[in-house]
This record gives sequence, C-alpha cells and structure tokens, in this order.
Amino acid sequence: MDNPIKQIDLMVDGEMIYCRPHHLETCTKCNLDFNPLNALHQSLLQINGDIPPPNVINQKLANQINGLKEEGNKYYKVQNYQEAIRLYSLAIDMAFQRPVWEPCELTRRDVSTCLINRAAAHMAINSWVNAYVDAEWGIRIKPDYVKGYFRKGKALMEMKRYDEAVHAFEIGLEFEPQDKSLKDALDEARKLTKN
Amino acid sequence: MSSWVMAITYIGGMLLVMSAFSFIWRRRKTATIKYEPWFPEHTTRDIYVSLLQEKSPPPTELQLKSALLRRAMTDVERMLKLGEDRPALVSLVQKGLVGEDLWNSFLKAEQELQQDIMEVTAEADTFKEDWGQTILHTANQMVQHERHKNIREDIRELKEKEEKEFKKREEREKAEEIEQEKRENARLEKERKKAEEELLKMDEAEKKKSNSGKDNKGKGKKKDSSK
Repeated sequence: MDNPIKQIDLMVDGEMIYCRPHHLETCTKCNLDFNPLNALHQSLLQINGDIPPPNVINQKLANQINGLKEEGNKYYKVQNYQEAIRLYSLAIDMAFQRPVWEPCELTRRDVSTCLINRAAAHMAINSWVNAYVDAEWGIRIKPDYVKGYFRKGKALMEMKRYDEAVHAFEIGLEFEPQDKSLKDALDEARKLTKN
Repeated sequence: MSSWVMAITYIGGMLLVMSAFSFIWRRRKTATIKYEPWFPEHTTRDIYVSLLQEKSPPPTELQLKSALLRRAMTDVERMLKLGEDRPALVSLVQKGLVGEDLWNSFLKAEQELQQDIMEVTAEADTFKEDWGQTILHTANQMVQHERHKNIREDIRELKEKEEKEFKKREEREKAEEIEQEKRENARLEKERKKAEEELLKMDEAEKKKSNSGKDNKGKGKKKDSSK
C-alpha cells in the first residue's frame, strides 16, 4: 500500500467534529480541515440524512430559478437593462442554493444562460468590465457556449484589448466554424490589432 | 613485520570492495521498487476509519454517512485525475521520456483507487440497502458542484482585478488626454506668436518701404490671422 491507513486524532462534539489536541475545526498544526465534512453533515441534517436517489430534483426551486430568468428576459426585451441584470443575478444566486446532491448539470445550464444574458444586458449599458467577466464565467462553466466567446470578445474590443478579443473569437470559431457574426468580429478585431 | 602490514591492507581492501559492492547492489535493487506515490495521503478515508473507531463519544450515523460521502468524493476526484493523466503519461512512456517507476506508480494508484471504491460501496451498503449503487453518482455531483463554487470564487477575484485595472487605465487615459491637450495648446500658442511676430516684421518692412497709404493693408492682414 502506498498510503496505509493512518489513525486521525479526532473527537466528536455534538454536531461537530474537531481535532482532539486543539479542539479546532480547521487546524493548521494537525494539518486537518473538518469544515467540508461538518458542512456536508449540516446540509444532510436538513433532509434527515435521506439522500434522494440520483436525478430526483427539487421542482419548486427549479421553477423559481426559471421564473426569475424568464422575468429577466422580459425586462431585457423592453430595454430595462438594470432590472434585467438584477433578476438574472437573483436567478444565479438561487441556482447556487441547489442541494449539492442534485444533478450539477442543471445548475450549469441555469447559471451559464443567466450569465450570458446578463453579459448582453451589461453590454447594452456600456458596462464592459462586467460584460467581460460574465462572459468569461459563462465560458468557464460551459466551454462550448459560443455566444459567450462572442460577447467576451466584443467587450474586450470595447476595452481596446484587441489581441485578447482575437483569441476569444478564434476559440469560439473552433466550436462553430461557420458562425457569421463571429467571423466578421474576428476580421474587425484583426484589423484593429494591426493598427 | 611486513607480512602483518600486508595482511591488514589485504583484509581492509577486501572489506572496502565488499561494502562498496553491497552498497551499489542495494541501491540498484531499491531503485527499481521505490517510487513516489501518485497521490498524497487519503485523508478523508483516514477520517472515516478513525471516526468508525471513535467511542468517546461515538459519532452519529449521519456523521459517519457524511464522512463516507467525503471519502467517495475524494475517490471521484482521483478517478477524474487519473483519467486526465493517463493519455499524457502513456505517450511519455512510449517515447521513453519517463521511467518505468513513474508508470508503476500510476498503475499502483489505479489499483488502490479501485480497491478503495469497492470498500466505499461495501461500506455504503451497510448503512442503507443499495446505497452502494448510488453513492459514487451522488459524490460525483457533489464534486462538480464544488468545482462550480470554486469557479465562482475565481471569478470574484478576476472581477476585482479587472475593475481595478479598468479604473487605472481610465485614469491614465484621462491624464494623457489632458497632457495632450496642454501640449496642443502650447503648440498653437507658439505658432500664433510666431505668426504675429512675422506679421509685425512684415508690417515694419512695409512701413519702411512705403508711405502711410499702404499701411492699412498690413493691419488688415494682422486682424485676419488672429481670429
């Protein structure tokens, strides 16, 4: 065995588990961190330890998230961008409330859609840093989100960071080589880098 | 007397040769077996096992279940890591760029991981019937959720950094603009003065040359240029 079982000097104190020598949850001296374990225990307590089988989801929460997103889209359409941003942000926060044992794919889908929409709303009010950060976030959790690369590149161009914009468009085109708007944007960005 | 010296040097020399041989031999032998473990210590497993043995006071069943889930999460993370490492390692071994020992370490890690996964599923079944079939699936979702949260933290940092940089850039651009304006103004001022001087000179030259009748023309010109 590479890593034989090592006895850990721990103690149970009510709902918490600590290191015994220092009575600490996160102990640098023992090099132990019981926080992830205790946090998980806390969240399991709320459902009495009945971990639902895979693919069972909290429909109420899912509906709430979806409702907020739809509302955000409505405000976006009537060009009330501030309100749209607020609603998308609420939807994102709520998606992060989803219990950790539920399918993560749902969170990924909800959060990335809201982020890319929020990026568009930020662009509409010339808030380029926020637009760029949202697009970047969306791409990081859903790397094949082509719209994300487009918006990231556009925001970067507005910030006069043409090299990075070219890079963003190029990656987007790798996923969708025929995308017209991406191609045009890439041409424009390339021209500007040469200047 | 010299035979004593001869005998001692002989025995000493032999001992030296023999110890050198055994040293090299042992080093070669251990070199083929010893390697760095692929993963660090399996702390979540150790915590679970230690918790099982804890008697004063004993943990609740839910605490044990949580600890087992954390152990399963570590296993999932390691499974993903091995899956990522494998192709790169295989090509490195084929090209002969890394030694056998690294490859052996990898295989050993795979083996141990499989064993640990089997233990985890067996343990899960002791808590609830058939939990062993789903515990890894649940652990996988939890690992993904955790990654998600880490990305959120990274983005939070990125945002702070970008906002600072944007502000700095804006300020710099503003300062540059003001500077440019100043320079432009100074240049214009200089040109204006120069033109005025030239006109004055021309005026004076004309005055010298001609009578007062032609003087008006020069004044007119001067007015035009100053507008």
